Amino acid sequence: MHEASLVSSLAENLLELKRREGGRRIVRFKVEIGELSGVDPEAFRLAYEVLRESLEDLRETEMELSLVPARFQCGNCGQSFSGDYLAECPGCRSLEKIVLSGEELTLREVELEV
Amino acid sequence: MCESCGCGEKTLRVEIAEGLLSANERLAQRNRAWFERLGVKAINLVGSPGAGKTSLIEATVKDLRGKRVAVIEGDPETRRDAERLAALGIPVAAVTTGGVCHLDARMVHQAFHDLEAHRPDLLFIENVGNLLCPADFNLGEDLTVVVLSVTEGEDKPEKYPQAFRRAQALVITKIDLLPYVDFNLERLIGLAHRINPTLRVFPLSVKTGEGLPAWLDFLHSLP
Repeated sequence: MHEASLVSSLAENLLELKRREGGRRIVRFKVEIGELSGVDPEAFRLAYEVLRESLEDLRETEMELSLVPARFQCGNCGQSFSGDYLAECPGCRSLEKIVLSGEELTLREVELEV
Repeated sequence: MCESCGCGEKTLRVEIAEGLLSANERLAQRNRAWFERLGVKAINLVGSPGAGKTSLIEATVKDLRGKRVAVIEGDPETRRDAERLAALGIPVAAVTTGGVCHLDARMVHQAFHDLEAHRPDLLFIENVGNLLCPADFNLGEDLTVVVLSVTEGEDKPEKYPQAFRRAQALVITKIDLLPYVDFNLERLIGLAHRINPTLRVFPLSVKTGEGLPAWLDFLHSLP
């Protein structure tokens, strides 16, 4: 459900960028969604499709989604590993971990027609 | 691309790394600075509808001595919970989100304008009943508390890890119902700690008062 809020904030970012760069049209852009972000890529795409129907400026703009895998670093022994928030370090079994990637919700690259 | 086809159109590729939530994040930082300046501890309460968030605030307000409390009450529709709390004689700002599934920093900012003059020590922000969406939206709070009732099942940390990851404390409500439900308290706490090893856990019942003193002590001990 909050995918709707996310895409409207995405649209604000895009239109701001278009103003700043003085482009005529946004051709396409890339968004990275982390596996751990809790955002469902399908729901995100659907929310975007709905939103752009109502926004003249984005009607012909393509969105490219890429999913960023989750990576952690053990807070105890430093080993890095994949998994989810419940994962323990495969080396030392510690639960203390730092997220290296997978929490992204990032607008990455925008192609404008100038 | 079009430069070579002769149609005269030019494209510009802009490399950025703009978080989709960056606008909310900036506002949240502003809220945080505002709270800090006034010496307010802001506590973001997140949990499913019916978990007992409003009842927890009621019980806390009644028993918490020596602290001025204010509440921002988020609800998709109706002001019923806000009225319930205002009946206790504390300042309450109602935020009706109009169906939106979470509070954001802007809503909290606007609501706190109505509460600032009361100079609260503690500000409870009762988020919209939802264990998923509020986890993404920083409000500028000092502390996020997940409120989970024993009737909801102990697998919630596995299903909603973001909320548990973000929180500093977990309040397990309605423990007076434990004899009547299949709910393994140890398993819940174990799962929550797998996700967040430093999470403080407070099992309690506002009906019997069991466990409340530990929660109140915790609130008093906040720096």
